[in-house]
Amino acid sequence: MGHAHHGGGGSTTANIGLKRFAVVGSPNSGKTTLFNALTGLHAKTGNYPGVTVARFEGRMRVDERDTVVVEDLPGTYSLDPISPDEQIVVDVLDTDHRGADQHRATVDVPDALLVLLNATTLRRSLGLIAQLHQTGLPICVVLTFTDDLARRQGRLDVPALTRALGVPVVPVVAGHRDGVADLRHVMAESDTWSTPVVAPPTDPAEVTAWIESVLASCDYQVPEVDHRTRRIDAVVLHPAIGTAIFLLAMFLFFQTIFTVAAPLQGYVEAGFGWLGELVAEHIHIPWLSAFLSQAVIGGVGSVLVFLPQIVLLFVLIAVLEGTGYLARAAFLMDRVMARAGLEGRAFVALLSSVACAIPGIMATRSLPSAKDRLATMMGAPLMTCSARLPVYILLVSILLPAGSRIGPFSGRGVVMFALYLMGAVSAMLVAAVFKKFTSRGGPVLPFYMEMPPYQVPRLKNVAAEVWAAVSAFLRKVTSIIMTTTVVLWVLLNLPLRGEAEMMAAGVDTGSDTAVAAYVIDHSYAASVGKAVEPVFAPLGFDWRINIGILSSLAAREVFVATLGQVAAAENPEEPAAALTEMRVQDGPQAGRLLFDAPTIAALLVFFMYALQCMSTVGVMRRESGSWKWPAIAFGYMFVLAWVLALAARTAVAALW
Amino acid sequence: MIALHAERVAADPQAVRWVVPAGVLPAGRIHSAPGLLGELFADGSLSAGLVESTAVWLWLRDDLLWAAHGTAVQAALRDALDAPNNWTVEPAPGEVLARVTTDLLDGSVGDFIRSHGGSVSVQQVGPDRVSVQLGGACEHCPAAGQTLRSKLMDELRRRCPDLAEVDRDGTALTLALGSGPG
Repeated sequence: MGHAHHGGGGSTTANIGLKRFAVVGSPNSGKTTLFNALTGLHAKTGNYPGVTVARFEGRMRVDERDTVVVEDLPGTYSLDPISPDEQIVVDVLDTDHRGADQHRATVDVPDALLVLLNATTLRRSLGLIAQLHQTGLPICVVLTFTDDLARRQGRLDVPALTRALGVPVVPVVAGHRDGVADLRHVMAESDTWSTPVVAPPTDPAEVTAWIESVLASCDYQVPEVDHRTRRIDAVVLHPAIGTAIFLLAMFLFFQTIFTVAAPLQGYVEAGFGWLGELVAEHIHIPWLSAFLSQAVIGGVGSVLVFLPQIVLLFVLIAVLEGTGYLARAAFLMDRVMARAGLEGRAFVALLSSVACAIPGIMATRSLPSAKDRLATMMGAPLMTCSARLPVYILLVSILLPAGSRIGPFSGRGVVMFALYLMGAVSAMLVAAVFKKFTSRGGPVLPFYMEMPPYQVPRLKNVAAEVWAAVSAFLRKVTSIIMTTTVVLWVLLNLPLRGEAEMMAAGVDTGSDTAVAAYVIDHSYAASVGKAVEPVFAPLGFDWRINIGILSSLAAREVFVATLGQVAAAENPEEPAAALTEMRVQDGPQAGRLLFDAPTIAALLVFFMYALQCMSTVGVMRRESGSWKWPAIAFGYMFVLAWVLALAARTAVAALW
Repeated sequence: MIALHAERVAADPQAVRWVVPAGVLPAGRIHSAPGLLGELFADGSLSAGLVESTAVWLWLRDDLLWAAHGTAVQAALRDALDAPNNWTVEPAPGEVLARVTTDLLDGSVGDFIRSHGGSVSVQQVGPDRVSVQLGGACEHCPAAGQTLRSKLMDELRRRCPDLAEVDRDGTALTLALGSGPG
């Protein structure tokens, strides 16, 4: 797998010689929150050698002199791994193999452990402590959710817990600086951390007795289920009412995308329009002016105008997660998925795919069964990822005028909701079908799904999550989308055409627009688009759409950028209008509006099903270990996309 | 299976306080124990043992380390506690009370007193009594008696349910266990 820390910014080389602390704890113990609080914005991500489990590490200063490295290990309930990411924890903490061979040498064994214990689920977490003592590494317990414990009438004597465990115990409440400052001081003294006078037992029955004794000695009282949470859950987790609420919440969200984000989108568009005028006014080098107005403003700019929607999408996801509702949605869906033989973890992976299929596919690492992993991986790319959002919005906006209503609701919002719903249903169906084919059914391994109490989301967390997503989008726009768009601009403008040739073809060489249109229509890109026309002609796509589809293999948003370029060339003043008025140039359907309802329906369905994302293919290869599964995914999704797009086109043509 | 865990004794590396369920054994000094634990006492590996209401104190011979022998002692203790009737525990209320009081004053209660600039000492007086004396900043503090009572007595009662206060004189306190075991 080559260099272990590809993309990690050479984190380990820079961190050699520094003391390493590993953060260990169960999922939802507040691990990542603590990690962020400790390392601030200095975290780096990379991969563990040989596997693609993301590795997070960052530096922090513990006092005036010392800087240490903190590593956030994947969440785990025990050191008996049942899934790949739990295996990572075991490997990293395997002190016996310290530098034993080349492979191990690249995994830095930590010098000390920060073990997170969730005060509200202490009984379950203590077993991990017993196991961690086997590593022989110094341990400091970080006690989280003590505020939650107190609020829910639970009880815990922290000094007694410190005595019973024999190690330092530092309570840290998320959002409060005192705990983190205390922890920092304790970390500075890690050489003198106390250790248990006698190590906890290892035999499971003895461990249970040990946990019992520790809990009794620190007067532990299990927290009550939060009253408010229980009352809300009675409704929200109801199979029928809960599902209805979930769908309603989603429906309202897509309404807001068009009512709230559309005006903002207008501002961004106006901004790019103004930039376009500046270019036209001040840049008199023809090719540069064309490049800026077509590739940069027309192409990349047309993707950037969807920033408000992207922001809104991630605000909603972060808010739903912050309130604790997302865990309930997963719980509801778990029941549905169970019918298909898939477990709740699979839905969590599918849910992550709403942002992007890549983290979704990576999230399948938490699935213990290899068959379930593959089945989920096959379905994940069908979830409507944020890259489809610009494509959908562009197409839906051409299909329906802004004011169109279905009942009291925005027509565009209703269509968007339907698209997301269809994506999710398809993803689950595909996962279920693959599961049927690959597996005869095996034991379903236990799955803890934490139900955090409902709370008002912290503004800081929401902002951080949205910023992470938005900056990732902006990076994508400035790297892969920009590159593809520039390459496409070149292909769309070559070969150069002489004036004589254009005159001969009857082009008004005095009009820049007419010249640009002629060049593009006879470019290399056009020939490629025309070459694949036989494949896509039944769907109503012409060469311009074909080029968009081919280029969108780099990233789905490039489809928007490509159409933006073509439109900007044809009508630099109003590219949006150019798209709506674009007509089929030749063939039997010449003169038909290119983006008529049947074609848009076919395009929407095509983008819903086709695996137009090479990054997803790449991640699938790494996660499944061979090209077989990505090839199957790409193949089945293309066939599905083509057939269903044709069906959609035919149906809409008959009904519209 | 008996629920138990080991706790370090701050001032004494040879001692371990094994926390066990309340009332398994009567309080006092251990004379003999069943099974392997008994053998460890017999061959001198364990030099002494004391039972309080929720814990068994064991002392390892001076040249042995708990880090090396803790697991074996733990297993032996677990087995022995399954047969509580085969132990011989001689009542020693004064010693138990002195041990528990010292333990508290070495820990959180003592920290509290020291954090106020005070000092505190414990002395066994007679076979069943201890005397606790506050010093330092506490000596002339009118709240001293109150502090001692509220902080120390609450904690002590949790560890020794039959604690009795015999005498109180300013900053000194004499304590006894109400009814000696056995």
